[in-house]
Amino acid sequence: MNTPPATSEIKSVFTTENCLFGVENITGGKVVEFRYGLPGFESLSKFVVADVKDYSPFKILQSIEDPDVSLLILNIDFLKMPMDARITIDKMKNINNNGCNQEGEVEIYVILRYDKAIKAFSANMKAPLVVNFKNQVGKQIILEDENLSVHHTLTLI
Amino acid sequence: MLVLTRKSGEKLRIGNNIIITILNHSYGQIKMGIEAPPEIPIYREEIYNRIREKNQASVLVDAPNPNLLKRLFKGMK
Repeated sequence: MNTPPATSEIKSVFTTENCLFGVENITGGKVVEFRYGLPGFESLSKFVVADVKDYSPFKILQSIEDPDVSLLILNIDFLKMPMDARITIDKMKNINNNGCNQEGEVEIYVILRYDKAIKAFSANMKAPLVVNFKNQVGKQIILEDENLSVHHTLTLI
Repeated sequence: MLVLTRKSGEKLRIGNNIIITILNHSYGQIKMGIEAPPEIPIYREEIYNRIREKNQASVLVDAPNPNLLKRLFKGMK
């Protein structure tokens, strides 16, 4: 198994040209390989789950191979959701065959989208990211649950 | 496209570790079973396309404003 790279190595992924958030604001991160790519970014597999100053608990999923690809993500544990959705998610955490939790715990993230026109965020609950930081592998899965939406609107307070 | 005819209960092997079994068919629907290594994602094509569009539309063009994220987080509690 590869040793997780040091923070300095994570930081080297970000340059002033590619970093939307300011390189100095990257406070940490972990490398994750999406071996089979992510739908829509099929040619990309290496990403960093990065911490950005003042963003916590939100994180950034940044492609190492394409500096223009960065996504806002959130650990699903922070999301309020219907009970049946919570059950689906909890089941998923326990399933041993999702391809990336042979060792250690998995963490589940949702991808958030900011719609500038309506100034609102939505979460893709239908297709969360399952990440195992110990193995450094991740996968985007699609849940069969009909009640889960790719466009779950979130409220701002 | 390779086109093969199979009867219910018959199988197809793709590579050395993916097996597709035709289980039954009725009213224009085909039910199939797929055995594949767990790391291989299996998607319905139309759903895959929806997720692909959604992922691409989620790419950040600007750095999210930390105050906006704080308000978003408050809304989740």
